[in-house]
Amino acid sequence: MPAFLRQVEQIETWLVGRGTLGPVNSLVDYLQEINQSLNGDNPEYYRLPDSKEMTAQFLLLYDSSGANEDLSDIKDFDNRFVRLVVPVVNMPASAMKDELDSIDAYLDANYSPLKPVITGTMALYTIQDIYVSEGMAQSFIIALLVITAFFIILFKSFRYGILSIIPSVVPIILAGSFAGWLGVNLDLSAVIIFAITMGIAVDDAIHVMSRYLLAKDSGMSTRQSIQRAMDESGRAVIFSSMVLIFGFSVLCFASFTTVIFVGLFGSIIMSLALLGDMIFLPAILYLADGNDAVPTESSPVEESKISQ
Amino acid sequence: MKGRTWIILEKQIGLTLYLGAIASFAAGVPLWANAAEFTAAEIMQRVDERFDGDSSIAEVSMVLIDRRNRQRVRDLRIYAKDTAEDSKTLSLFETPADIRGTAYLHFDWDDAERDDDSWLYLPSLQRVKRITSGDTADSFLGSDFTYADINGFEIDWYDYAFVSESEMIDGEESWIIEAIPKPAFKERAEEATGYSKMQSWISKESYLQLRSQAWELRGNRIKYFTASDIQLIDEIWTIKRLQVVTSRNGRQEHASVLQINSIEYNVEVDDSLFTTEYMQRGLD
Repeated sequence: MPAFLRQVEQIETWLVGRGTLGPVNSLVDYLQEINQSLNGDNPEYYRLPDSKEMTAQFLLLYDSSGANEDLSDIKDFDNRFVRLVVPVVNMPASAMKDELDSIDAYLDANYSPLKPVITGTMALYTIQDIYVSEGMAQSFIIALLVITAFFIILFKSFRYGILSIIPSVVPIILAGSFAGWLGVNLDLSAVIIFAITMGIAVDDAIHVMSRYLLAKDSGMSTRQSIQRAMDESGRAVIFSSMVLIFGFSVLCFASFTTVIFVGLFGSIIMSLALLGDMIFLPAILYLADGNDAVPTESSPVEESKISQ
Repeated sequence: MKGRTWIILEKQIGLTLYLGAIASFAAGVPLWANAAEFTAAEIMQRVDERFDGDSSIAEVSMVLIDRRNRQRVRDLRIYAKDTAEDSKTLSLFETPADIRGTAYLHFDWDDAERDDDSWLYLPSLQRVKRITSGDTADSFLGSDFTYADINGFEIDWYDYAFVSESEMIDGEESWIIEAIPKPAFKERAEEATGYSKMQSWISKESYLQLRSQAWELRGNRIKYFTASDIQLIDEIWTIKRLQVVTSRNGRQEHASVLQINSIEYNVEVDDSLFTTEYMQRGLD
């Protein structure tokens, strides 16, 4: 027991020495204080008891002297486990993760036989945040791959499948950068919006792209095909996007920041996706397919259509 | 006049808690008179005045039980002696090994104004430390018993009333008596016990407290005391097993059991045992 407690004391000293943490509290502190007070308050005795027996007797003394708090929150009933209570300064999840990681690494390297476990709400939240963000990133990539695969099958073309995914993904990247630029910390509930909006944004791209390919198949030139796609699907795409943008922006009036962010970034992403489908997708198609036929009209078709 | 909590002992057996608590809980009372004519206060008076021996030596186990039913056992030998009106108790820890030889000495003075004295001897330090008993409503040795449960309370501070004048419990007819502090003593009584009120099941035959219930002032807790394994030893009724369960909002929080493994009453116990010098000699 003294050997064990001495290790706990070393861990505690190391933790305090980091400077990033508040005053640590554990059984060690209680025992040191009891020892000092039993020896005429001599600070020299602010140290752990010398033997297992002395430790047990100190604890019995503590129990017998009518202390206001029992020790059930810093040691277990059978005296087999202790808990070190370590207050932490509030910090972002990433910094907290580094902090926990370095503590974990230190404990693992030096005290792995003790099987120390880091727990508490701070540790749980940090790990939860990390799991959720990793999970979101993973789902996002999987969703992107699956959607791309469906596009390739749908349009029976690798080339057009890849091209049509661009206007749906770019807005999300832009909105994410915007959040970073604003210095907004998106919590895990707000991050969900990126996956949701991607699913909605591809919808418009399908409309535009399928109309374009239909026209193209019927022998029209690139320019004519784009014009037809815009004629047939433009109005519907714009209206449905506007509805979504306003729908999401209603959430901006919420009082809960997470909901506000969902509304704000949802509408930003949908606006950018609309621009993407109406301006960039035709432009991309024009660039990719080129001017394969002599244009029959000389007026800049897309612009006039978009402004309808 | 000092009464015992529900655990009502004769005299302050002081920290004899277990012993005293248990023994006098059940101390024999002459089966005089037709009990039916007594008032609730008179019954409690008789419970308080029972004879539980002038001295005793007991082997006692204290079992601490946590919420998950894990148990920790401490064995003690307890010497108790009433000299004049004062009572002295010496408790020696026998197990577990790491606290063997630790001794607890307690003097309970008859003078109500004089604070109890207690000392603890720690063999590892080879030193006797005086302990301030502090609040009598504090837990004793980390158990569910408080010092007040063990040492008793002032019987005159309470009003008593029958909850029931005839109730069968464990096959014995008993009274159920409720004790509520008198308005004039309310503050002192609450501070001394930590309870807002108490209720006791008193056997009509033996004047033992078979059950007791105490409502704590804080935390919506109720303590349930249960006496069992009652035996007549050396002409003194002895409760050999006393259990207390602390429940909070109706759920068991923890429990403690005091179990007398053996007890001898009215044996020669020398006064020299109840000294700090003797504590250091400890177990032989």
